[in-house]
Amino acid sequence: MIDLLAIPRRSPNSAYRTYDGQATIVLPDRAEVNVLNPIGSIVWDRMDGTRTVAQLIEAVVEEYEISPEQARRDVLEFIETLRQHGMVS
Amino acid sequence: MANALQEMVVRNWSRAVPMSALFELTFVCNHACSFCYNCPTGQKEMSTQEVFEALEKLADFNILYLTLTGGEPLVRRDFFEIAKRARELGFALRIYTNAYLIDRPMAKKIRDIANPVEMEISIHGARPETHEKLTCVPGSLQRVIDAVKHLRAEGIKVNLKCPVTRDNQEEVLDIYRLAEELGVIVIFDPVITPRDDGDKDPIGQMATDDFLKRYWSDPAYAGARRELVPKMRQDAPGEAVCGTGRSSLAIDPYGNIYPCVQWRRKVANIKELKSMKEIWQTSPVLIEVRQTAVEMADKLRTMHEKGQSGGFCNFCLGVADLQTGDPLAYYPQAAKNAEFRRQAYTAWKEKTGESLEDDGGVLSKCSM
Repeated sequence: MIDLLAIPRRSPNSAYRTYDGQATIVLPDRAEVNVLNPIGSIVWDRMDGTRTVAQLIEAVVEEYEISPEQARRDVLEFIETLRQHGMVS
Repeated sequence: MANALQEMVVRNWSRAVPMSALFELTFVCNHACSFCYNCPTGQKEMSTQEVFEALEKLADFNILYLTLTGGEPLVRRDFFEIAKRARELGFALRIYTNAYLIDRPMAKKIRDIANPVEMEISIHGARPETHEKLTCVPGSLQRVIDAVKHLRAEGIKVNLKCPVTRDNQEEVLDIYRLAEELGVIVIFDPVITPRDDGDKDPIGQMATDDFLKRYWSDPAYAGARRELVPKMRQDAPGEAVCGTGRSSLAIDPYGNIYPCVQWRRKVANIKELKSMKEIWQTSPVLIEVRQTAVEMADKLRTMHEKGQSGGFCNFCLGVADLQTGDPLAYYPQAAKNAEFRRQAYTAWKEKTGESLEDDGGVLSKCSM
């Protein structure tokens, strides 16, 4: 279970740029390139080690017309996926 | 995610949004390859601070992939300072090197500081005497082999690349096997280019016609050429022949910006720009280069429709311009390789009754 007060940080090994609102992430260690959807891209861009999970959820709600519950589900699921792929510390 | 990436790349390509840049950090090299295309002018190469400022402009321009090359980039004493800064700026790094300086500690340092997506190392022979005849440096092949092992031990992806010349053409299969033993791939390039100043001497070292014909048709070379039979271009009308001035750009050690590493038409000097955005969409050179790339794709498609070799051609506008003064000219190396590829494909098609025309057997485009 991800703590809403946790401060996730994108892997320092990753390289990324955002094109058309979509983050394109290169993971040298895994020779992998991933393109995130717009919500994932907002979270990734702000996951710089200064914001809590709760603040990341707020950022998504500010940008998109979705409910806080939906944003919470999406962000938690997204961070869990990043964890499983070793893309977050 | 793979589809999303493909869509992103296609979208960026069509709008000329570059994702990669190649940065020649120095023209100094610890090898003396006779066919090297670099032409140092004697100007002062960029200082560490100037390189840092250039990197910041490239990061601000949203470049994702950055290739550090030379000359030999590792001879710069500030190489790791530059690599560190590049990683801090969020680039995914590629490093092209002759590997001569890479021992075990250096491999670890590369992993810890640069953490490249991949490294490309030049190889010129399977036997020391062949490799060293071209590099003019004793012991250089063993250095390549050791470096590959050290880098692989650090978990770094390594590709070997081999310009095929008449000196090493009969070792292509041995080089391929050596790469397999080392657990890496090797990319062969049978086209030798003129020097950047137009000197055509290196072309004399190009592989023989007899070898090129074998290379493109003999199944024994299928692994080396990384295709069972030659693939074809499938450029739609309006599509460019390559990514020059579109998907990537190149910068030399003096800060000059070019549409790509091969086509040295100066666009600007990065030291004199506040931002890359000042020139990317409005530079007359880049506009012309992109238009020429579309014209050439049209020309090759027309040739293909007439049963000529254009559809099998890996055409380089830069080489054409350098060699003939006309970027649209069908220069001899391109024509020769394309014709041998066309013949090999036609023979395979007649023998098997199969075809690659509709199943995505597409010749990939150059985006250096």
